[in-house]
Amino acid sequence: MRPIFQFVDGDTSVHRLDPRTKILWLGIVTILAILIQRPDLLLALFFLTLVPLVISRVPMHQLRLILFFYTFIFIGTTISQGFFYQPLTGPPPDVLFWLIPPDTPLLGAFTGGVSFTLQGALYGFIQGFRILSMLNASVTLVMTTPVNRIMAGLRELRLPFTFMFMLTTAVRFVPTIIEEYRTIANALKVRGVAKNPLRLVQYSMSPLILNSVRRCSQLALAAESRAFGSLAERTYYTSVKFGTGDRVSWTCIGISSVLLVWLSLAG
Amino acid sequence: MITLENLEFTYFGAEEPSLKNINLSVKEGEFVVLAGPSGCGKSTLCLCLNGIIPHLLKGRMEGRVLVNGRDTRDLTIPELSRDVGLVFQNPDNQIFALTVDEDIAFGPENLGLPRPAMEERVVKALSETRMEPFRKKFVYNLSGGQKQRTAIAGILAMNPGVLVFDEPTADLDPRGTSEVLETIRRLNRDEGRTVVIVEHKIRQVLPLCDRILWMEGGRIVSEHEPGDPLPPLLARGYTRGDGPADRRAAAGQTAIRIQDVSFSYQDGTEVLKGVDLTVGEGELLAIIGENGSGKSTLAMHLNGLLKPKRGNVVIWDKNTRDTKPGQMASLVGYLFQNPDHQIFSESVYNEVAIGLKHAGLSTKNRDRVVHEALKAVDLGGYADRDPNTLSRGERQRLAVATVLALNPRVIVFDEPTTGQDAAHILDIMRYIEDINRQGRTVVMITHDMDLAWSYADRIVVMAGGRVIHDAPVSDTSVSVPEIFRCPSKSQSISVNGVLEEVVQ
Repeated sequence: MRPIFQFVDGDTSVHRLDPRTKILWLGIVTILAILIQRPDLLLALFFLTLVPLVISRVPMHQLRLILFFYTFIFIGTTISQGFFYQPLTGPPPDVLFWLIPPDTPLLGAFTGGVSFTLQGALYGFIQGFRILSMLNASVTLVMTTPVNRIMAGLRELRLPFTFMFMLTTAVRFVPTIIEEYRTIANALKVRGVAKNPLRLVQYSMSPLILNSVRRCSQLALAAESRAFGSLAERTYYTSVKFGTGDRVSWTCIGISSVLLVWLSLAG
Repeated sequence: MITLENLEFTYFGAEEPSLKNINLSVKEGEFVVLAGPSGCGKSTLCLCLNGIIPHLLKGRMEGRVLVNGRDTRDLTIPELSRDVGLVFQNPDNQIFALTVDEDIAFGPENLGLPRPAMEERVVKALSETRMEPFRKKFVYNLSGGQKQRTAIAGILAMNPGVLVFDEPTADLDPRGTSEVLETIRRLNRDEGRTVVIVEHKIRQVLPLCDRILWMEGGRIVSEHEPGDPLPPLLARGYTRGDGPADRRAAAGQTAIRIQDVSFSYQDGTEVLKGVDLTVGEGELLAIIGENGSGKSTLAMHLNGLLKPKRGNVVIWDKNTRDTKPGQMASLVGYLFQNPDHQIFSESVYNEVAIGLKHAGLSTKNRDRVVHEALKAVDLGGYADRDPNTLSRGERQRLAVATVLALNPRVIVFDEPTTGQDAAHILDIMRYIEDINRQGRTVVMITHDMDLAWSYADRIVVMAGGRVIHDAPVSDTSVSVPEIFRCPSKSQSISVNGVLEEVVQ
C-alpha cells in the first residue's frame, strides 16, 4: 500500500520555499488551532491553510484521497462529540436520539443514558476544522518538500546533529523495515501460524527486533569506516536558502496570524 | 601499501583466535582476492585493514598491521579511512542518507571538508561508479547493484588508496554482480587503486585479479595466480547424485498448473503478464531471471500469498483463489531466502511444533513429527536450543524442518543459497535433492545459473513478467539469453564435481 501523503515533485512557488518556512508555518498553525475558540475564526484558519495547498497544485488522485480522509475526520469528530458533548454551563443540549435510553436496565443506570445531541454534533463539526487546519499545514510540508530537504531545514533550525542523524537514519530505514515486516508476515501466513492480525504482530516482533539489532551493529561499523565521530568540525553538503518567496510568505503569515489572534482576543 | 606481520586476533570472549600468524604484503595497484569457507577469518582480516580491529571491536591482537608504513594501532579510524575504504556485503546497512549524492557526501561531511571540495569529490565518485544518472534519486528506489555502487562511491569520496570489499556481490542478482565487479575492475585498472576483495564468486573475479589467497581456520594456507592451473579448491562447480534426465522419468501427474496468470500491484505495476506453466509431480524446477522479472511474484502465487488478477493457479486439485495461504501450508511449503525472517520461537522444538499445533495435530503426534523433522535436517540434538544461538546454516536447516514437518507435496525455495559459501551450498543442495528424491515437487528460485543448470530438471527463465524460456536442461536445441546460460559450461576453469570431493 502506498502512503496517502508523500512528496509530489513539482515546481510551484510553494515547492520552492525554504523548508524552514513550511516547518514554522506548521508550528504557527498548530498554535493558532489550539488557541482559537471561535467557530468562524477556526473556519477562517482552515481556509487560510488551504491556500498554499491549492497553490502547490496537488494532483487530482492525491486530492481525492485527502478529501476522503478529511470526510472521515469530520464524521469521526461529529459523531464522537454528538455523543459525548457535555456543556459545563447553560441549558442542556437538544437530544436528537438516544443510543442507550436512561431507563435501559443496568446499562441505563450505569451510564445515565447516552444521547446524540444537536449542539454536540455541531461542536464536533467545528472541532474538525481545528484538526484539518493542522493537517493542511502538515500536508503542505510533506507533499511539497522531499524528506532530505525537511531534514536540512530542521538542521538549520539548530536541532542537534546527533538527533538529526538518528531521525534521518530512522526515516531512511522505514521502507526497509516495512519490507522486512511484510516478508516476516508472509512467512507466518504460509505456515498457517498467524491466523489473526494480533498474533501476526506478536510473532513478527522477535525477528524484526533481532534483525534490527544486527543491522545496527553493522551500521555502526560502516559509519565508523566513513569517519563518523571524527574530531573535525562537521560540514554539510545540502543547504537551504531563504529567498524572496519566503519573505513574501512570512509577511502574509505574520499579518494573518496577528489578525486572527487579535480577533480571537476581541471575542 | 599494506603489510601484515605475524597478525593474530582473538575476539573478546572467544577461546580460539580468528586469525593466526598472518603474514601478507599487498603492493600498490594490486588486486588480491581472499577466498575460503565461512568462518575462516576473511571478514576479520578485512576489519583489521581499516582499523575497526583493534579500535572498535575488542579482543587480543598480536603482530602488526601497517598501512603506508604506519601501524594501525597508532592511527584513529577516521585517519585510516583516508587510506583504506571498506565496503560491506549488504548495501542497505551502509547507506545513511536519503539520496545518492547526500550519502556519497556523508564521509567528506564527517571529515569537515568545505562544500566546494565536497562537491568535487561527489562528482568524481559518481563518475567513477557510473552513478551520475541516479545522483538525486532516493536510495530506496535503487536496485541492489545501484545501492552497492552508491556504497562504493561513498567510500571513494573518502579518497582512499586501498579499497577493501567484504563479499560486495553476495546479495546481488547476475546483472548487479557484473555492474559491481565491472566498477571494481575499473577502479583497479584505470584508477590504479589497490583492491582486496572477499568473494565467493571466484570464477567471475578470477579474470580481474593478480592473486588469490585461500584461507582456512584463520590462516592463509595457499596462494594462487590466475595463470596457474586452478587448484581444485577454488574451482566452483556442482554435481548432483543422479542425472536430471534419469530423474525426470519419475515425473507423473501434474502438481502445479498455472494458466494465463496476470498480476499487478496496487500502484498499477504489472508484474506477471499471462504466464502459463505446468510442473509435474516430483520435478525439480528452477526459475531464473533478473530482479523484477516476476519470478518471486510467481512463486508467491503457488501458496496463495498472492492471488492472480487474471487466470488460475491450481496445485493438485486446489485452486489458490479459493484458499487462504495458511490452508495451503500442508500442500505447499515455502522457504524464504533469509532464515531470520522465518524463525519466531524461543526454542528449536517450539519453532517446528508451532505450525503443527495450528494444523491441529495432537500433542503426542506433534512430538513425534517434530523429532522426525529435526532428525531429517541433522538438528536432532538441538531441540532445546534457542534458534538464535545456531549458525546461519543451522538456522536455514531449521527453517527447512518447519516446512518438512507439515509434509507438503510441493516445496518452493526462494534463493536458498544466497550468501553461502561453496561447502554450505552443497549441504543445502543435498537436502533439496533428498527432499526431491522422496517424491516431492521442488520449485527453486535462484540467481545462480550454475546451480540451476546443475541441479534442476527443467529451467524456466522469466523476463518482464513473462516466461521467455521453458525447457529441460538436457534440451540444447533451445537458445537461452547469454546472461542466463550456465557459466561453467562456457568457461574452461570449472571443474565439476571436484569441490564435492574436497568437501567430503
